[in-house]
Amino acid sequence: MKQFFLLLKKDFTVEFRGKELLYALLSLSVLISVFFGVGIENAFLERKAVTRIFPLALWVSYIFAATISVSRSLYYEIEFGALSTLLTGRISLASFYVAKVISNTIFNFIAFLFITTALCMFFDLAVSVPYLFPVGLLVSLGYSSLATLTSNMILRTKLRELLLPLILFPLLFPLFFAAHELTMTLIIEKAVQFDSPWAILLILMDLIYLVAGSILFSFAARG
Amino acid sequence: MANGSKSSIIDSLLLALSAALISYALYFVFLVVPDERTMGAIQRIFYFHVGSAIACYLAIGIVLVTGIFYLATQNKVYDQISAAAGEVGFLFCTIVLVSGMIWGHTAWNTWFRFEPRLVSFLLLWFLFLSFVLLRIFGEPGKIATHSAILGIIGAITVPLMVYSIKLLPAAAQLHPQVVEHRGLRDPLFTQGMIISMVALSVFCLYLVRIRFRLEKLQSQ
Repeated sequence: MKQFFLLLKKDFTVEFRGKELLYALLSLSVLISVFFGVGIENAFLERKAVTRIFPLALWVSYIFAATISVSRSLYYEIEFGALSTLLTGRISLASFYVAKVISNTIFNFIAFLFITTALCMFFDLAVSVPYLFPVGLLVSLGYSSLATLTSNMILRTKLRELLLPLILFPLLFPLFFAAHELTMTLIIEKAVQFDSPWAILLILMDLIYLVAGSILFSFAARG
Repeated sequence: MANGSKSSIIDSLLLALSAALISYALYFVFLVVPDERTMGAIQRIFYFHVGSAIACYLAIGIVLVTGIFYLATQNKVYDQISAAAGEVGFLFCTIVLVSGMIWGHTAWNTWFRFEPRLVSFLLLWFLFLSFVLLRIFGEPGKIATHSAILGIIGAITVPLMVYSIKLLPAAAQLHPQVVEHRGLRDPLFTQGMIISMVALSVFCLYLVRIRFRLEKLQSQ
């Protein structure tokens, strides 16, 4: 447990010292939202249609920003030799994986907050953002569990920038479906039902991917 | 030498069985099963479409089981079977998509619709594609382990994908669900479907075996 908190502290110390990722995520979120905003404005859509496009714009932008964030996070581990050092030391790889998933979840959740705020502003929507927080957090956890595992498998390959989305995106689709449907429910019904099958599926996926990831990560890291 | 001749016998038996079953399926589907009332002759593509989908799921099952065994034992044979099943699964998934598109063009007058079931198989195709790409461009020396992991995670994702699709609103579901909801109208339709499913599954196993032997030879 001590190892786990030390690893988590390391990730936050590295990030908050440089703040590169936070600035990058903020700029990226605003940029993507501007693209969506301009496209939608020029399509002369009705208000109702704009509202219905919001979940799609949100989760597509999120996947884009989160993929960049996760691959950068693990690239740091390899660039500075942290993973190789861990493999020779006594630190449990499952602890390393869970710590990495938690830190990635938090950074991805920050990206989610940036994107939601930017999109609500540009789309001129009054979405009950706090209701979306649990959805954002659950999606971030599922996403990070999968992305931390898969990005570790391709980081030392020549085609890593191309292989990561090709491997990760098909796996993300059930998460995307659940996130999209829950957000749509929030927009239409003004509340998220956490006993709905989509919410249960999202929680189930998080658990499955986190457990499977912590078992498989040690194999992936050691090869 | 004894092992080699035993393998050849198994190959020949599987080939003979596949050929016999596929010939019987072709005979049954084209000469015994009657035309479907609304769609006519084009409906016969259904037997090969569903049969290929079952073969595809069989390949995923093999990838999952061999992936687990490889990680547990580090025995190269399981990795070779997994590689073979991944490639054959990709082939059958392509057949499902192409046959579905031909059928869809006649039934719905469009090659592809972003209907949940169609999307789920397209994503399955992408899963197989990523598996094949990882085997080609993966990290040298770790390809076997990494593809076993991807195979396991991919196989876990498939039921989640299928379940999530069932949750989508009924209005989005365009794909026929006759088998699940009402059954097929004519008992001959059901028989044709079962025969083609068995024939294509055996053929899938034969292809996996041949590809596995090739993989083994390449590693030697």
